[in-house]
Amino acid sequence: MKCIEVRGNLEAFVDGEIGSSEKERITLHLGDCDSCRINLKALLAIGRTMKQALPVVAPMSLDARVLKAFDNHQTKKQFTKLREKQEKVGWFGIPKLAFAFGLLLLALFSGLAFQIGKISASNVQVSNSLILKTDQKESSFKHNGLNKNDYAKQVETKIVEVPIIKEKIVKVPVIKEKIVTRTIYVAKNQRRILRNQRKFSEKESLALMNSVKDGEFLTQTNLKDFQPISVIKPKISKKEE
Amino acid sequence: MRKKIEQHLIEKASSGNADAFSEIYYLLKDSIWGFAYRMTNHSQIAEDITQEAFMVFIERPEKYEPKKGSLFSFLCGVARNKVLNHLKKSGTRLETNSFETKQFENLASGSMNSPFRELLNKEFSEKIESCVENLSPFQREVLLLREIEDLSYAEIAGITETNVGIVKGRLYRARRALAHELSLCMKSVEVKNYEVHRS
Repeated sequence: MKCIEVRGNLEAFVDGEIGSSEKERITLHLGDCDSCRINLKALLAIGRTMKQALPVVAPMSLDARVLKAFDNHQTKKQFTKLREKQEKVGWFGIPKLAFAFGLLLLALFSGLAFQIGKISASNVQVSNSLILKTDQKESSFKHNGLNKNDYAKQVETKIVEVPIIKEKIVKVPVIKEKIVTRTIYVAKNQRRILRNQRKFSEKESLALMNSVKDGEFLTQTNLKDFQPISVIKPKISKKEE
Repeated sequence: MRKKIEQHLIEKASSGNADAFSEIYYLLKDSIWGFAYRMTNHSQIAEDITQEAFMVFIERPEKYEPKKGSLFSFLCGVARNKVLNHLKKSGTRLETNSFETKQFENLASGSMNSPFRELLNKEFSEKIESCVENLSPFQREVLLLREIEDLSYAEIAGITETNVGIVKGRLYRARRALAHELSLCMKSVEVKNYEVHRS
């Protein structure tokens, strides 16, 4: 092997980047050639000098920085995981999508209920009218030995307009058949007129007999300007009795 | 010194195990910081770069592929990219070799007492550092990775994103330039001979 060939591969030889056969040939040549041997020593000296002259010890401050950064990252990672988990679960343990859908349904249902309520209210409320509502006191509810539920099955409720005096129209819910008594109300300032027209009032009362609600189960609202003038037992009730 | 770290330790560290990470960190920190320091010649910047390199491993452990090389090579590659970015920002030319030939005194005299020799050794180290610093960044990095970290040509090529041929060429030029620098500042006949024989 010639010197020029060895010089071309000497660095690879020193760095251990050469094949075994080539290594053997160079080793043989180095045994005989002083010039190449000196060159080899020079190469080795460079590496040795660098390692000796350039000791490397990282400063202590680096440890604190890196380990703190690691801890911070782990904390952040855990927090992110927790948040992701919460986002998956949603609110109140319900998945977000289901919760939103539920809210939407609730809103729709509320809107619908409001509209129905509005329509019902408009049917009941009439200007200058008297509103009577069914009293649902459970304790006092007894009719012909029937409890509330059985009674409710037998009766049918509807709204009728009851003219008591010309100017006033009373809307009362009426229960068919099971009528016991009814109360006629009149405006305070119209009482005298009604008395004078008693015949008319009685006639009117009789005409209304079958359609007036049992007074026992009625309460009156907005009646401050009205007074009861008579309690009439309808004919049907008398027959039943 | 080549760093060998067991794969299970790397997996543990990447999954957030503090002990495993500490172990890896203490094994590799000097080498990574040393490389960054020799390349930038600035301790604080080297610290920043080392921290950033480890943070890449912590935050995105999937970036490290064991098939492509060791964890040290991966971290060194990250540090190297950051070093080059820093050098570009600071206006350093990466390709050219801008060393100045300075006449240094003979420092390796053997007939001196111990404290004085220590002082001279320190000065000697500084001169060597200065010689290495005068190499171009591309030459410096291959020389450091080869001579200090004992990495193979293939590993160096992986870190520097080049091929083995380029690594060999840069290493050859780096050694030659360093030998020239060293020949000016020390008595080493061996190094001087290398310079003479190669030129």
